[in-house]
Amino acid sequence: MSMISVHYSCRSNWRVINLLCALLSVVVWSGCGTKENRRPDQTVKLVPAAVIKLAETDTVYVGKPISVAVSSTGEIFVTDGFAKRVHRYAATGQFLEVIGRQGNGPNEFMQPGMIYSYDDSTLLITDEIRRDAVVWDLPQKQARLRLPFSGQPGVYAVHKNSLIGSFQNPVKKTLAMRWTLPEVTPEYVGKLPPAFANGLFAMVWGRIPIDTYGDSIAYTTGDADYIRLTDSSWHVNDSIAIPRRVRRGIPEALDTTLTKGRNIYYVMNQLSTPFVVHRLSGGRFGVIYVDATIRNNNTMSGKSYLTVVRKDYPARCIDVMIPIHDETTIPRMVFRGDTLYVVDQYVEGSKATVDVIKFAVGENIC
Amino acid sequence: MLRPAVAVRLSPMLCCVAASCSRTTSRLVLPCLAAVSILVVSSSCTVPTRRFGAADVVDLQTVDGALIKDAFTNASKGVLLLFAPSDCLSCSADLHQWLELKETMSLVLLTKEPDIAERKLLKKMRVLFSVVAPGDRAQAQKVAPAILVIIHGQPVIAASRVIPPLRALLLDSARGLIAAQPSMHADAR
Repeated sequence: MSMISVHYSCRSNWRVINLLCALLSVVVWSGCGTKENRRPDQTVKLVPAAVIKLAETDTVYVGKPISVAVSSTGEIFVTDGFAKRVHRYAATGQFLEVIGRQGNGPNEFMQPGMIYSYDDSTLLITDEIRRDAVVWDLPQKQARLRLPFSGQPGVYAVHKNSLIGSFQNPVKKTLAMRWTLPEVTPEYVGKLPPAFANGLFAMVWGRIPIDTYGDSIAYTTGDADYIRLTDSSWHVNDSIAIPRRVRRGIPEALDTTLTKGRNIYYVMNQLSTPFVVHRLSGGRFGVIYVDATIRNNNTMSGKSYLTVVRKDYPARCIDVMIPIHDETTIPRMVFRGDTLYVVDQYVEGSKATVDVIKFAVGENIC
Repeated sequence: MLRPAVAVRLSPMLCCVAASCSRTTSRLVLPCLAAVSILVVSSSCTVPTRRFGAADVVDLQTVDGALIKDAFTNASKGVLLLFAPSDCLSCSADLHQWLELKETMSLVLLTKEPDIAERKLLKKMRVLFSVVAPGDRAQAQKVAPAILVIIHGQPVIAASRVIPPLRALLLDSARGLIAAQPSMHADAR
Protein backbone atom coordinates (compact mmCIF):
# COMPACT_ATOMS: atom_id res chain seq x y z
CA MET A 1 0.00 0.00 0.00
CA SER A 2 2.78 2.44 0.80
CA MET A 3 4.31 1.86 -2.63
CA ILE A 4 1.05 2.67 -4.45
CA SER A 5 0.56 5.93 -2.64
CA VAL A 6 4.12 7.00 -3.35
CA HIS A 7 3.68 6.47 -7.12
CA TYR A 8 0.32 8.26 -7.14
CA SER A 9 1.84 11.38 -5.63
CA CYS A 10 4.61 11.29 -8.15
CA ARG A 11 2.38 11.63 -11.21
CA SER A 12 1.83 15.38 -10.82
CA ASN A 13 5.49 16.26 -10.63
CA TRP A 14 7.62 14.54 -13.17
CA ARG A 15 11.36 14.82 -13.69
CA VAL A 16 13.00 15.72 -10.37
CA ILE A 17 10.20 14.55 -8.21
CA ASN A 18 9.83 11.40 -10.27
CA LEU A 19 13.49 10.74 -9.84
CA LEU A 20 13.16 11.25 -6.12
CA CYS A 21 10.18 8.92 -6.09
CA ALA A 22 12.15 6.30 -7.95
CA LEU A 23 14.92 6.61 -5.43
CA LEU A 24 12.42 6.42 -2.62
CA SER A 25 10.91 3.32 -4.16
CA VAL A 26 14.29 1.68 -4.30
CA VAL A 27 14.92 2.57 -0.68
CA VAL A 28 11.52 1.27 0.39
CA TRP A 29 11.87 -1.95 -1.54
CA SER A 30 15.39 -2.57 -0.45
CA GLY A 31 14.33 -1.88 3.12
CA CYS A 32 11.52 -4.41 2.83
CA GLY A 33 13.83 -6.90 1.23
CA THR A 34 16.32 -6.56 4.02
CA LYS A 35 13.63 -7.08 6.58
CA GLU A 36 12.28 -10.20 4.90
CA ASN A 37 15.68 -11.71 4.37
CA ARG A 38 16.93 -10.99 7.83
CA ARG A 39 18.39 -13.99 9.51
CA PRO A 40 19.28 -14.30 13.14
CA ASP A 41 22.81 -13.24 13.70
CA GLN A 42 24.48 -16.54 14.41
CA THR A 43 27.88 -14.99 14.77
CA VAL A 44 26.85 -13.39 18.04
CA LYS A 45 28.32 -15.08 21.06
CA LEU A 46 26.94 -14.78 24.54
CA VAL A 47 29.60 -13.46 26.84
CA PRO A 48 29.16 -14.11 30.56
CA ALA A 49 28.60 -10.97 32.58
CA ALA A 50 29.67 -12.88 35.69
CA VAL A 51 30.42 -16.40 36.82
CA ILE A 52 29.28 -17.22 40.34
CA LYS A 53 30.89 -20.28 41.88
CA LEU A 54 28.48 -22.01 44.25
CA ALA A 55 30.33 -22.78 47.44
CA GLU A 56 30.09 -26.30 48.77
CA THR A 57 31.05 -28.42 51.71
CA ASP A 58 31.64 -32.17 52.04
CA THR A 59 27.97 -32.72 52.71
CA VAL A 60 26.28 -29.80 51.01
CA TYR A 61 26.68 -29.65 47.27
CA VAL A 62 24.38 -29.66 44.28
CA GLY A 63 24.41 -33.20 42.93
CA LYS A 64 21.67 -32.90 40.36
CA PRO A 65 20.28 -29.42 39.69
CA ILE A 66 16.60 -29.54 38.78
CA SER A 67 15.67 -25.86 38.67
CA VAL A 68 16.95 -22.46 39.71
CA ALA A 69 15.35 -19.26 40.96
CA VAL A 70 16.80 -15.83 41.67
CA SER A 71 15.33 -13.30 44.08
CA SER A 72 15.25 -9.57 43.52
CA THR A 73 18.30 -9.24 45.76
CA GLY A 74 20.24 -11.71 43.64
CA GLU A 75 20.02 -14.63 46.04
CA ILE A 76 20.18 -17.93 44.17
CA PHE A 77 18.06 -20.99 44.97
CA VAL A 78 18.86 -24.33 43.37
CA THR A 79 16.70 -27.44 43.68
CA ASP A 80 18.87 -30.52 44.10
CA GLY A 81 17.24 -33.66 42.74
CA PHE A 82 19.95 -35.84 44.28
CA ALA A 83 19.60 -34.74 47.89
CA LYS A 84 15.91 -33.79 47.40
CA ARG A 85 16.21 -30.34 48.89
CA VAL A 86 16.86 -26.72 47.97
CA HIS A 87 20.14 -24.86 48.47
CA ARG A 88 20.20 -21.15 49.13
CA TYR A 89 23.16 -19.01 48.10
CA ALA A 90 24.01 -15.34 48.40
CA ALA A 91 24.47 -13.34 45.19
CA THR A 92 28.19 -13.97 45.54
CA GLY A 93 27.75 -17.76 45.67
CA GLN A 94 28.29 -18.04 49.41
CA PHE A 95 26.29 -20.93 50.82
CA LEU A 96 23.53 -19.74 53.15
CA GLU A 97 21.29 -22.64 54.07
CA VAL A 98 19.60 -25.87 53.12
CA ILE A 99 15.84 -25.67 52.64
CA GLY A 100 13.88 -28.81 53.44
CA ARG A 101 15.04 -32.37 53.19
CA GLN A 102 13.91 -35.65 51.71
CA GLY A 103 10.80 -37.11 53.27
CA ASN A 104 7.05 -36.93 53.52
CA GLY A 105 6.72 -34.45 56.38
CA PRO A 106 5.54 -30.84 56.29
CA ASN A 107 9.01 -29.40 55.66
CA GLU A 108 10.15 -32.19 53.41
CA PHE A 109 10.21 -33.04 49.70
CA MET A 110 9.78 -36.36 47.99
CA GLN A 111 10.85 -35.01 44.61
CA PRO A 112 11.37 -31.27 44.46
CA GLY A 113 10.79 -29.91 40.98
CA MET A 114 10.36 -26.35 39.81
CA ILE A 115 11.16 -23.43 42.08
CA TYR A 116 9.88 -19.85 41.90
CA SER A 117 10.72 -16.76 43.85
CA TYR A 118 7.26 -15.47 44.76
CA ASP A 119 8.67 -12.59 46.73
CA ASP A 120 11.88 -12.09 48.67
CA SER A 121 10.56 -13.93 51.69
CA THR A 122 8.55 -16.66 49.94
CA LEU A 123 9.51 -19.50 47.66
CA LEU A 124 7.25 -21.88 45.78
CA ILE A 125 8.63 -25.34 45.24
CA THR A 126 6.65 -28.02 43.45
CA ASP A 127 6.84 -31.63 44.57
CA GLU A 128 6.49 -33.95 41.60
CA ILE A 129 5.61 -37.02 43.64
CA ARG A 130 3.37 -35.47 46.26
CA ARG A 131 1.79 -33.36 43.54
CA ASP A 132 1.67 -30.16 45.44
CA ALA A 133 3.59 -26.94 45.84
CA VAL A 134 5.32 -25.96 49.04
CA VAL A 135 4.98 -22.33 50.02
CA TRP A 136 8.25 -21.84 51.88
CA ASP A 137 8.65 -19.00 54.35
CA LEU A 138 12.29 -17.96 54.20
CA PRO A 139 12.44 -15.88 57.43
CA GLN A 140 10.59 -18.58 59.41
CA LYS A 141 12.67 -21.32 57.76
CA GLN A 142 9.68 -23.60 57.31
CA ALA A 143 6.81 -24.42 54.99
CA ARG A 144 3.93 -22.03 55.42
CA LEU A 145 1.49 -24.30 53.63
CA ARG A 146 1.24 -26.87 50.88
CA LEU A 147 -0.95 -26.26 47.85
CA PRO A 148 -2.50 -29.50 46.69
CA PHE A 149 -2.87 -30.13 42.95
CA SER A 150 -5.23 -32.72 41.57
CA GLY A 151 -2.76 -33.65 38.88
CA GLN A 152 0.85 -33.43 37.88
CA PRO A 153 2.35 -29.98 38.53
CA GLY A 154 3.07 -28.25 35.25
CA VAL A 155 4.65 -24.88 34.58
CA TYR A 156 3.99 -21.79 36.63
CA ALA A 157 4.80 -18.13 36.65
CA VAL A 158 4.40 -15.56 39.36
CA HIS A 159 2.29 -12.67 38.14
CA LYS A 160 1.75 -9.71 40.43
CA ASN A 161 0.65 -11.43 43.63
CA SER A 162 -0.61 -14.60 42.00
CA LEU A 163 0.88 -17.87 41.02
CA ILE A 164 -0.56 -18.90 37.68
CA GLY A 165 0.09 -22.10 35.87
CA SER A 166 -1.02 -25.49 34.83
CA PHE A 167 -1.35 -29.01 36.03
CA GLN A 168 -1.94 -32.15 34.08
CA ASN A 169 -4.89 -34.20 35.15
CA PRO A 170 -5.29 -37.56 33.41
CA VAL A 171 -9.08 -37.16 33.28
CA LYS A 172 -9.62 -33.43 32.98
CA LYS A 173 -6.48 -32.91 30.88
CA THR A 174 -4.52 -29.73 31.34
CA LEU A 175 -6.14 -27.21 33.63
CA ALA A 176 -5.17 -23.70 34.56
CA MET A 177 -4.82 -22.62 38.14
CA ARG A 178 -4.34 -19.38 39.99
CA TRP A 179 -3.32 -18.91 43.57
CA THR A 180 -2.67 -15.89 45.72
CA LEU A 181 -1.20 -15.78 49.20
CA PRO A 182 -2.72 -16.30 51.80
CA GLU A 183 -5.31 -18.59 50.20
CA VAL A 184 -4.79 -22.20 51.13
CA THR A 185 -6.05 -23.79 47.95
CA PRO A 186 -5.55 -22.87 44.32
CA GLU A 187 -8.41 -21.65 42.19
CA TYR A 188 -8.98 -23.62 39.00
CA VAL A 189 -9.82 -21.36 36.11
CA GLY A 190 -10.74 -23.86 33.43
CA LYS A 191 -8.96 -25.71 30.72
CA LEU A 192 -5.86 -24.35 29.10
CA PRO A 193 -5.67 -23.60 25.38
CA PRO A 194 -5.45 -26.67 23.13
CA ALA A 195 -1.72 -26.35 22.64
CA PHE A 196 -1.28 -27.38 26.23
CA ALA A 197 -3.46 -30.42 26.13
CA ASN A 198 -3.66 -31.64 22.56
CA GLY A 199 -0.38 -30.91 20.85
CA LEU A 200 2.20 -33.59 20.52
CA PHE A 201 4.60 -31.15 22.06
CA ALA A 202 2.48 -30.98 25.18
CA MET A 203 2.01 -34.71 25.20
CA VAL A 204 5.72 -35.34 24.90
CA TRP A 205 6.96 -32.77 27.31
CA GLY A 206 3.95 -32.15 29.47
CA ARG A 207 5.15 -28.62 29.89
CA ILE A 208 4.55 -25.47 27.92
CA PRO A 209 6.82 -22.54 28.67
CA ILE A 210 4.87 -19.61 30.07
CA ASP A 211 5.58 -16.20 31.47
CA THR A 212 3.63 -13.10 32.32
CA TYR A 213 3.47 -10.07 30.10
CA GLY A 214 1.94 -6.95 31.53
CA ASP A 215 -1.55 -8.06 32.44
CA SER A 216 -1.31 -11.04 30.13
CA ILE A 217 0.11 -14.50 30.11
CA ALA A 218 2.53 -15.48 27.36
CA TYR A 219 3.13 -19.04 26.28
CA THR A 220 4.68 -20.73 23.30
CA THR A 221 2.40 -22.91 21.23
CA GLY A 222 2.99 -26.59 20.82
CA ASP A 223 4.63 -26.28 17.43
CA ALA A 224 6.59 -23.25 18.57
CA ASP A 225 5.40 -20.93 15.83
CA TYR A 226 3.90 -18.29 18.07
CA ILE A 227 4.04 -16.77 21.45
CA ARG A 228 0.40 -16.39 22.43
CA LEU A 229 -0.64 -13.61 24.73
CA THR A 230 -3.75 -14.21 26.78
CA ASP A 231 -5.77 -12.45 29.40
CA SER A 232 -5.93 -13.83 32.90
CA SER A 233 -8.69 -16.23 31.80
CA TRP A 234 -6.36 -17.68 29.17
CA HIS A 235 -8.28 -16.21 26.22
CA VAL A 236 -5.79 -15.43 23.46
CA ASN A 237 -5.83 -11.77 22.51
CA ASP A 238 -2.54 -11.38 20.67
CA SER A 239 0.24 -13.41 19.10
CA ILE A 240 3.87 -12.92 18.27
CA ALA A 241 5.20 -14.99 15.41
CA ILE A 242 8.41 -16.86 15.97
CA PRO A 243 10.08 -18.15 12.82
CA ARG A 244 10.09 -21.90 13.07
CA ARG A 245 13.38 -23.04 14.41
CA VAL A 246 14.70 -25.90 12.33
CA ARG A 247 17.08 -28.01 14.25
CA ARG A 248 20.53 -27.97 12.79
CA GLY A 249 21.57 -31.15 11.07
CA ILE A 250 18.01 -32.44 10.91
CA PRO A 251 16.85 -32.65 7.31
CA GLU A 252 13.20 -33.40 7.91
CA ALA A 253 10.57 -30.73 8.24
CA LEU A 254 8.85 -30.45 11.57
CA ASP A 255 5.46 -31.41 10.14
CA THR A 256 6.89 -34.55 8.62
CA THR A 257 8.44 -35.44 11.90
CA LEU A 258 5.25 -34.96 13.81
CA THR A 259 3.03 -36.84 11.39
CA LYS A 260 5.27 -39.80 10.86
CA GLY A 261 4.07 -41.25 14.11
CA ARG A 262 7.32 -42.90 14.96
CA ASN A 263 8.36 -43.61 18.49
CA ILE A 264 8.61 -40.88 21.04
CA TYR A 265 12.40 -40.88 21.10
CA TYR A 266 12.51 -40.32 17.37
CA VAL A 267 10.14 -37.38 17.54
CA MET A 268 11.91 -35.72 20.43
CA ASN A 269 15.28 -36.18 18.81
CA GLN A 270 14.07 -34.27 15.73
CA LEU A 271 12.60 -31.24 17.46
CA SER A 272 14.05 -27.99 18.58
CA THR A 273 11.94 -27.54 21.65
CA PRO A 274 11.08 -24.28 23.41
CA PHE A 275 11.58 -24.73 27.12
CA VAL A 276 11.49 -21.22 28.50
CA VAL A 277 9.77 -18.03 27.40
CA HIS A 278 10.45 -14.75 29.15
CA ARG A 279 9.47 -11.13 28.67
CA LEU A 280 12.52 -8.93 28.28
CA SER A 281 12.58 -5.14 28.27
CA GLY A 282 11.61 -3.19 25.15
CA GLY A 283 8.80 -5.54 24.14
CA ARG A 284 11.21 -8.37 23.47
CA PHE A 285 10.88 -12.01 24.39
CA GLY A 286 13.63 -14.45 25.14
CA VAL A 287 12.94 -18.07 24.22
CA ILE A 288 15.23 -20.93 25.20
CA TYR A 289 15.24 -23.83 22.76
CA VAL A 290 16.72 -27.21 23.50
CA ASP A 291 17.90 -29.60 20.82
CA ALA A 292 17.66 -32.69 22.96
CA THR A 293 18.79 -36.22 22.35
CA ILE A 294 17.03 -38.81 24.41
CA ARG A 295 18.35 -42.30 24.71
CA ASN A 296 16.43 -45.43 25.47
CA ASN A 297 17.56 -45.41 29.08
CA ASN A 298 15.82 -42.02 29.45
CA THR A 299 19.02 -40.04 29.77
CA MET A 300 18.87 -36.74 27.94
CA SER A 301 21.62 -34.61 26.50
CA GLY A 302 21.62 -31.73 24.07
CA LYS A 303 22.40 -28.12 23.35
CA SER A 304 20.46 -25.04 24.40
CA TYR A 305 19.93 -21.92 22.33
CA LEU A 306 18.78 -18.44 23.21
CA THR A 307 16.50 -16.76 20.71
CA VAL A 308 15.31 -13.18 21.10
CA VAL A 309 12.19 -12.06 19.24
CA ARG A 310 10.16 -8.87 19.01
CA LYS A 311 6.64 -8.37 17.74
CA ASP A 312 7.59 -5.77 15.15
CA TYR A 313 10.54 -7.73 13.88
CA PRO A 314 9.82 -10.63 11.57
CA ALA A 315 12.88 -12.68 12.35
CA ARG A 316 14.77 -13.84 15.37
CA CYS A 317 17.26 -11.19 16.37
CA ILE A 318 19.74 -13.72 17.62
CA ASP A 319 19.88 -17.48 17.77
CA VAL A 320 22.88 -18.33 19.82
CA MET A 321 24.06 -21.38 21.68
CA ILE A 322 24.31 -20.94 25.42
CA PRO A 323 27.94 -21.55 26.22
CA ILE A 324 28.58 -23.88 29.13
CA HIS A 325 31.47 -26.19 29.93
CA ASP A 326 29.76 -29.43 29.05
CA GLU A 327 27.87 -28.87 25.82
CA THR A 328 26.13 -32.22 26.05
CA THR A 329 24.37 -31.17 29.24
CA ILE A 330 21.06 -29.35 29.18
CA PRO A 331 21.53 -26.70 31.84
CA ARG A 332 18.88 -25.35 34.20
CA MET A 333 18.26 -21.67 33.73
CA VAL A 334 16.03 -18.79 34.63
CA PHE A 335 15.57 -15.20 33.54
CA ARG A 336 15.41 -12.34 36.00
CA GLY A 337 14.75 -9.06 34.22
CA ASP A 338 17.16 -8.87 31.30
CA THR A 339 19.60 -11.31 32.85
CA LEU A 340 19.75 -15.01 32.11
CA TYR A 341 21.09 -17.21 34.92
CA VAL A 342 22.43 -20.59 33.81
CA VAL A 343 23.51 -23.40 36.13
CA ASP A 344 26.74 -24.81 34.74
CA GLN A 345 27.61 -28.14 36.30
CA TYR A 346 30.73 -29.79 34.95
CA VAL A 347 33.47 -32.25 35.76
CA GLU A 348 37.14 -31.41 35.46
CA GLY A 349 39.40 -34.35 36.18
CA SER A 350 37.83 -35.97 39.18
CA LYS A 351 36.25 -32.80 40.53
CA ALA A 352 32.69 -31.67 39.90
CA THR A 353 31.89 -27.97 40.06
CA VAL A 354 28.67 -25.98 39.92
CA ASP A 355 28.71 -22.39 38.69
CA VAL A 356 25.92 -19.99 37.89
CA ILE A 357 26.68 -17.95 34.79
CA LYS A 358 24.99 -14.59 34.29
CA PHE A 359 24.33 -13.42 30.74
CA ALA A 360 23.09 -9.91 30.11
CA VAL A 361 20.44 -9.78 27.37
CA GLY A 362 20.32 -6.00 27.03
CA GLU A 363 18.47 -3.89 24.52
CA ASN A 364 21.54 -3.85 22.30
CA ILE A 365 20.35 -7.33 21.35
CA CYS A 366 17.29 -6.88 19.16
CA MET B 1 27.01 -88.16 51.65
CA LEU B 2 28.64 -88.11 48.26
CA ARG B 3 29.79 -84.67 47.36
CA PRO B 4 29.14 -83.42 43.84
CA ALA B 5 32.84 -83.10 43.16
CA VAL B 6 33.36 -86.80 43.96
CA ALA B 7 30.49 -87.76 41.69
CA VAL B 8 32.05 -85.81 38.90
CA ARG B 9 35.35 -87.59 39.43
CA LEU B 10 33.67 -91.01 39.48
CA SER B 11 31.52 -90.51 36.45
CA PRO B 12 34.20 -91.17 33.74
CA MET B 13 35.08 -94.45 35.41
CA LEU B 14 31.42 -95.42 35.62
CA CYS B 15 30.94 -94.57 32.00
CA CYS B 16 33.78 -96.92 31.06
CA VAL B 17 32.21 -99.73 33.09
CA ALA B 18 28.83 -99.07 31.58
CA ALA B 19 30.27 -99.04 28.08
CA SER B 20 31.95 -102.37 28.67
CA CYS B 21 28.58 -103.94 29.50
CA SER B 22 27.50 -103.99 25.90
CA ARG B 23 30.54 -106.05 24.88
CA THR B 24 30.37 -108.65 27.64
CA THR B 25 28.33 -111.76 28.15
CA SER B 26 25.81 -112.62 30.82
CA ARG B 27 28.49 -113.45 33.39
CA LEU B 28 29.30 -109.84 33.50
CA VAL B 29 25.75 -108.74 34.20
CA LEU B 30 26.45 -108.35 37.90
CA PRO B 31 29.28 -105.85 37.53
CA CYS B 32 27.17 -103.91 35.04
CA LEU B 33 24.30 -103.74 37.46
CA ALA B 34 26.68 -102.62 40.13
CA ALA B 35 28.02 -99.89 37.89
CA VAL B 36 24.55 -98.69 37.05
CA SER B 37 23.48 -98.68 40.69
CA ILE B 38 26.57 -96.72 41.68
CA LEU B 39 25.75 -94.22 38.97
CA VAL B 40 22.19 -93.87 40.20
CA VAL B 41 23.28 -93.52 43.82
CA SER B 42 25.94 -90.96 42.97
CA SER B 43 23.56 -88.86 40.96
CA SER B 44 20.90 -88.93 43.67
CA CYS B 45 23.46 -87.94 46.27
CA THR B 46 24.49 -84.83 44.36
CA VAL B 47 23.61 -81.86 46.54
CA PRO B 48 22.07 -78.99 44.53
CA THR B 49 24.40 -76.00 44.30
CA ARG B 50 23.42 -73.23 46.75
CA ARG B 51 21.98 -70.23 44.92
CA PHE B 52 23.92 -67.02 44.99
CA GLY B 53 22.12 -64.55 47.21
CA ALA B 54 22.46 -60.91 48.14
CA ALA B 55 24.37 -61.82 51.30
CA ASP B 56 27.05 -63.42 49.12
CA VAL B 57 27.88 -60.11 47.45
CA VAL B 58 30.44 -59.46 50.19
CA ASP B 59 32.40 -62.48 48.96
CA LEU B 60 32.86 -60.99 45.51
CA GLN B 61 35.95 -59.14 44.38
CA THR B 62 36.35 -55.70 42.92
CA VAL B 63 38.34 -54.96 39.77
CA ASP B 64 41.39 -54.11 41.84
CA GLY B 65 41.36 -57.58 43.38
CA ALA B 66 40.10 -56.63 46.84
CA LEU B 67 37.42 -58.65 48.55
CA ILE B 68 34.36 -56.53 49.17
CA LYS B 69 34.00 -57.73 52.74
CA ASP B 70 37.46 -56.34 53.48
CA ALA B 71 36.11 -52.84 52.96
CA PHE B 72 33.89 -53.32 56.00
CA THR B 73 36.40 -54.93 58.36
CA ASN B 74 37.12 -51.76 60.26
CA ALA B 75 33.58 -50.42 60.20
CA SER B 76 31.07 -51.42 62.83
CA LYS B 77 28.24 -50.26 60.58
CA GLY B 78 28.14 -50.42 56.82
CA VAL B 79 25.87 -50.18 53.83
CA LEU B 80 26.55 -51.78 50.48
CA LEU B 81 24.50 -50.75 47.45
CA LEU B 82 24.88 -52.86 44.33
CA PHE B 83 23.64 -51.36 41.06
CA ALA B 84 23.96 -51.88 37.36
CA PRO B 85 25.30 -48.54 36.12
CA SER B 86 22.58 -48.37 33.48
CA ASP B 87 19.94 -48.95 36.14
CA CYS B 88 18.91 -45.32 36.14
CA LEU B 89 21.43 -44.09 38.64
CA SER B 90 20.27 -40.58 37.88
CA CYS B 91 16.84 -41.31 39.28
CA SER B 92 17.86 -43.65 42.07
CA ALA B 93 15.55 -41.81 44.34
CA ASP B 94 17.08 -42.43 47.74
CA LEU B 95 20.76 -42.94 46.99
CA HIS B 96 21.67 -39.79 48.85
CA GLN B 97 19.77 -40.91 51.94
CA TRP B 98 21.60 -44.22 52.01
CA LEU B 99 24.94 -42.56 51.56
CA GLU B 100 24.39 -40.04 54.32
CA LEU B 101 23.45 -42.54 57.03
CA LYS B 102 25.37 -41.28 60.02
CA GLU B 103 28.69 -42.84 60.98
CA THR B 104 28.17 -45.60 58.48
CA MET B 105 30.66 -46.89 55.96
CA SER B 106 28.92 -46.73 52.57
CA LEU B 107 29.97 -48.43 49.39
CA VAL B 108 28.36 -48.20 45.97
CA LEU B 109 29.26 -51.22 43.93
CA LEU B 110 28.59 -51.39 40.20
CA THR B 111 28.06 -54.61 38.27
CA LYS B 112 30.20 -53.32 35.40
CA GLU B 113 32.30 -50.36 34.38
CA PRO B 114 30.12 -47.27 33.82
CA ASP B 115 30.27 -45.64 30.41
CA ILE B 116 31.45 -42.05 29.97
CA ALA B 117 28.03 -40.48 30.59
CA GLU B 118 27.35 -42.63 33.63
CA ARG B 119 30.79 -41.92 35.03
CA LYS B 120 30.23 -38.20 34.58
CA LEU B 121 26.89 -38.41 36.32
CA LEU B 122 28.38 -40.27 39.27
CA LYS B 123 31.10 -37.68 39.59
CA LYS B 124 28.57 -34.87 39.53
CA MET B 125 26.69 -36.54 42.35
CA ARG B 126 30.02 -37.11 44.16
CA VAL B 127 29.29 -40.83 44.39
CA LEU B 128 32.44 -42.88 44.95
CA PHE B 129 32.09 -46.38 43.60
CA SER B 130 33.83 -49.69 43.05
CA VAL B 131 33.26 -52.13 40.22
CA VAL B 132 32.83 -55.88 40.52
CA ALA B 133 35.69 -57.96 39.08
CA PRO B 134 34.93 -59.37 35.60
CA GLY B 135 34.88 -62.95 36.86
CA ASP B 136 32.21 -62.15 39.45
CA ARG B 137 29.96 -59.98 37.31
CA ALA B 138 27.55 -62.74 36.29
CA GLN B 139 26.88 -63.45 39.96
CA ALA B 140 26.45 -59.79 40.79
CA GLN B 141 24.01 -59.24 37.95
CA LYS B 142 21.79 -62.01 39.29
CA VAL B 143 21.01 -60.07 42.44
CA ALA B 144 21.35 -56.42 41.37
CA PRO B 145 20.03 -54.03 42.49
CA ALA B 146 20.87 -55.27 45.96
CA ILE B 147 21.19 -53.65 49.37
CA LEU B 148 23.16 -54.98 52.31
CA VAL B 149 23.32 -53.53 55.79
CA ILE B 150 26.41 -54.85 57.52
CA ILE B 151 26.88 -54.73 61.27
CA HIS B 152 30.24 -55.83 62.61
CA GLY B 153 31.11 -57.51 59.35
CA GLN B 154 27.91 -59.55 59.11
CA PRO B 155 25.07 -58.75 56.71
CA VAL B 156 21.95 -58.19 58.84
CA ILE B 157 19.86 -57.04 55.89
CA ALA B 158 20.52 -58.53 52.47
CA ALA B 159 17.95 -57.90 49.79
CA SER B 160 18.25 -58.60 46.09
CA ARG B 161 16.30 -57.21 43.14
CA VAL B 162 15.12 -54.35 45.31
CA ILE B 163 12.35 -52.24 43.85
CA PRO B 164 12.01 -48.59 44.99
CA PRO B 165 9.09 -49.06 47.43
CA LEU B 166 10.94 -51.89 49.13
CA ARG B 167 14.07 -49.77 49.22
CA ALA B 168 12.21 -47.13 51.20
CA LEU B 169 11.11 -49.74 53.73
CA LEU B 170 14.64 -51.10 53.94
CA LEU B 171 15.94 -47.61 54.55
CA ASP B 172 13.68 -47.24 57.57
CA SER B 173 14.82 -50.62 58.90
CA ALA B 174 18.45 -49.76 58.27
CA ARG B 175 18.09 -46.49 60.15
CA GLY B 176 16.64 -48.36 63.11
CA LEU B 177 19.37 -50.98 63.11
CA ILE B 178 22.14 -48.45 62.74
CA ALA B 179 20.74 -46.19 65.44
CA ALA B 180 20.63 -49.15 67.81
CA GLN B 181 24.35 -49.69 67.40
CA PRO B 182 26.82 -47.80 69.57
CA SER B 183 28.49 -44.96 67.73
CA MET B 184 32.03 -45.15 66.39
CA HIS B 185 33.22 -42.89 69.18
CA ALA B 186 31.76 -45.25 71.74
CA ASP B 187 33.54 -48.15 70.01
CA ALA B 188 36.82 -46.31 70.24
CA ARG B 189 36.41 -45.81 73.96
